[in-house]
Amino acid sequence: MFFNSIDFAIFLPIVFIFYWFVFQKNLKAQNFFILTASYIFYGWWDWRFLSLIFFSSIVDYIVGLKLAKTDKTGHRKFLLLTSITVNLGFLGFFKYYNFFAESFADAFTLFGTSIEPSRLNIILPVGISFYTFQTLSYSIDVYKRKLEPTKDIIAFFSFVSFFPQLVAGPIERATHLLPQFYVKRKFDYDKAINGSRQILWGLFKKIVIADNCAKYANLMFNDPADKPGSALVLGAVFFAFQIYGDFSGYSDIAIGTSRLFGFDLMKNFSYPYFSRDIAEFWRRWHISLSTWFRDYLYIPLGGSKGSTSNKVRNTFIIFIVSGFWHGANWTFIAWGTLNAIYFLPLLLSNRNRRNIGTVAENTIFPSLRETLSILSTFALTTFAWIFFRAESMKHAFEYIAGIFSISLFANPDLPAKAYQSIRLIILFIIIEWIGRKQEFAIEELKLYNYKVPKWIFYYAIVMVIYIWGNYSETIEFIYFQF
Amino acid sequence: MKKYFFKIIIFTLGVILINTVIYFITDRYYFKPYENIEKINSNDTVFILADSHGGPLKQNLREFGVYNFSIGSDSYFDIYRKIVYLKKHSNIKKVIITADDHTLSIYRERLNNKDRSVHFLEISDSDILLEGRFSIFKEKYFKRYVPLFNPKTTAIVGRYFRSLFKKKKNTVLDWDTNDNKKKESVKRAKSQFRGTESSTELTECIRKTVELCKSYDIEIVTIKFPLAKDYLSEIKGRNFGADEQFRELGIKTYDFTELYINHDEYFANQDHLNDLGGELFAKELLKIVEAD
Repeated sequence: MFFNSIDFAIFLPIVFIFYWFVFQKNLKAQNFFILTASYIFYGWWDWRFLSLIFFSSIVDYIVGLKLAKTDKTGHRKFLLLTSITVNLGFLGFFKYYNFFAESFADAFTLFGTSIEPSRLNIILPVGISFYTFQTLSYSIDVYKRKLEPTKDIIAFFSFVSFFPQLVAGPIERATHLLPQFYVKRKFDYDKAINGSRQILWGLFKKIVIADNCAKYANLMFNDPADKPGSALVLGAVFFAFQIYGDFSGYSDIAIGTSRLFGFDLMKNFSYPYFSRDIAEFWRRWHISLSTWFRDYLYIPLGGSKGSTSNKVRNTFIIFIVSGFWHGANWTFIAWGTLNAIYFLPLLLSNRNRRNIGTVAENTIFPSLRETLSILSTFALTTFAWIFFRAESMKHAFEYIAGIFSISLFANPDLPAKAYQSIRLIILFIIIEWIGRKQEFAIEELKLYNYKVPKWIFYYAIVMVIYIWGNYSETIEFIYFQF
Repeated sequence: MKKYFFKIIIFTLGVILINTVIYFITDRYYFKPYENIEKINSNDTVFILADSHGGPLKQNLREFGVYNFSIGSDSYFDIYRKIVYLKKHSNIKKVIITADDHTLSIYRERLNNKDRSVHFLEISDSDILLEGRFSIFKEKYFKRYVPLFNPKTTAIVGRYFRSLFKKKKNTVLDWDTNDNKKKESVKRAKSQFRGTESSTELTECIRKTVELCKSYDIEIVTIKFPLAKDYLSEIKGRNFGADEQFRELGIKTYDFTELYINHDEYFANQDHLNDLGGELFAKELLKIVEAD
């Protein structure tokens, strides 16, 4: 079920009430209830998906226990390899089989031989890329002896399937989330209030920003040949805000929901569009995935140490794999490659960590230099998003060719309602800018100190969602497809 | 915990209050007008099921046992549901369904009356509709009584509040001068024929409707409503192919699109008849009813 659906609006209060009033007595009951709720949540899409997550969980649970019992390097490696093979095997089969089959057939045509690829008519289980990586982190950490394997099967299954972050992250590390299932949760008022605000803000981002931007991004991307270059530029900008509002909105709802149940999830976004360079952008965008790749791929490969060629190789590997993780399409690989190209000059000139803190930390407005850096980073990112959004490489190049045409300076001729979306984006940027030092933009506002303004503010968000939100249930979260 | 619940309850009460205001507006101006239909009696055996194109026919053929069950924006989804309802509540023998060029447009998947036509269903109809009971429940009760969750109500509430503060601005040009006729035809054609692909969901619904009627032993006839000359030339033969879909399923289509091609005086606008046109066209339909 989607977070922006009626189903979830019914599901969440029921689970919340049962969790705190019926199952709060002991830890086992709490975990068992979380597990049951999570399986209902996931099975709501298609109950057949449950067998996959169950199998993936049981394999890693057993691998963890076996790893604890052996010190033999060969045996340990075999166990880790089993976990990796099973998890990536599932992912490869469901997500990448058709891509490889088609690419293989395409490759043959280069040699003048035409073969018909054998495609499989399979549906991609929702969130498989997310929970596969989460459960893999457990096996790898146990293998590396960073984490004691758990004997508590309910806690482990709950960790893998924890419903707020099951289908689109944040991708939690076992070292962070699993121990939270070992301790009985007690209701924390501040945490719950904070979580509720974050859910409200997440809904605003998704329903008002992302889903409105989606209409115009789709309009431009669906038929770029008909549109002037200026409209295509705006289409790419709309998509940049669509994907940010969509994914960070989802993460906010996930983190906020977890807080209602006494859990803390890792931060997944930190105002990425205020980044001053690409390296900073990647420290602020989809943090849980970037750090996953950093810890389990980039650093084992040598990271930024070693010769220049190693650095270049590792950078390309991590960005291309990250692109490929998003989907079985050459467009995602192009998107990853482009980001690697953006990132490399910073890495090679040792300037990749020069923008660590918050932009304009002690001032209200950014300096001219900061403004230009932010805008140029946003422009580069938005250009890369064209590949991410396009359905094929041909589509992406057509779109880009459409931008760099004489019509770039023509009137974009947008539908009248698109200007309303632009106004909403501007409002959104202002609120995000004001709250940029916090975990989410409306976490703490001065008006929370005053009762009436605080309540007016909450209801204002509800009304903005109702009036300007595009809350058709058919608009899915983009990252659910990954 | 108590403090949190207290705050959540206050928040929820506020939301309920907003919801209640919206409910009364939408119930009065949106749901009720759709549901308040003329009572169907045992003499009604033929039913006209169309969108706003069927409106001008009014109940002109009622004395001949023909009941006009057309409502603006009705889609094939709504028509299907109405047939399920009619089977239970009437002596239905025959349906006259619209097969106009625009009815399989993708925009009809979104712009339809599903949230209102669900009124004619019962939860137990889920087996016939091949829809889950919970999904019917959600549509029938949740979307109606919690209109905050019904995106379609936003426009209705907005229109209501605007009407309180200012006079309604008429954005539709009068259908009197040739210039306006042309302009309105261009505008209408643009909105009705967006894109080139027809809706697969609605096409599937046509197939289901034909199967349903066969199982209920209901005869189907389809018609294409008359269109004005300017509009016909503007759409340039574009057709999403509902007539073709019905034809493939063995259903006959009577094409009246050019019936009044030189009679703009029978039209209220480019694709809707006026009262006089409706009255005349009703007589044409009667010929079909009687001939078959």
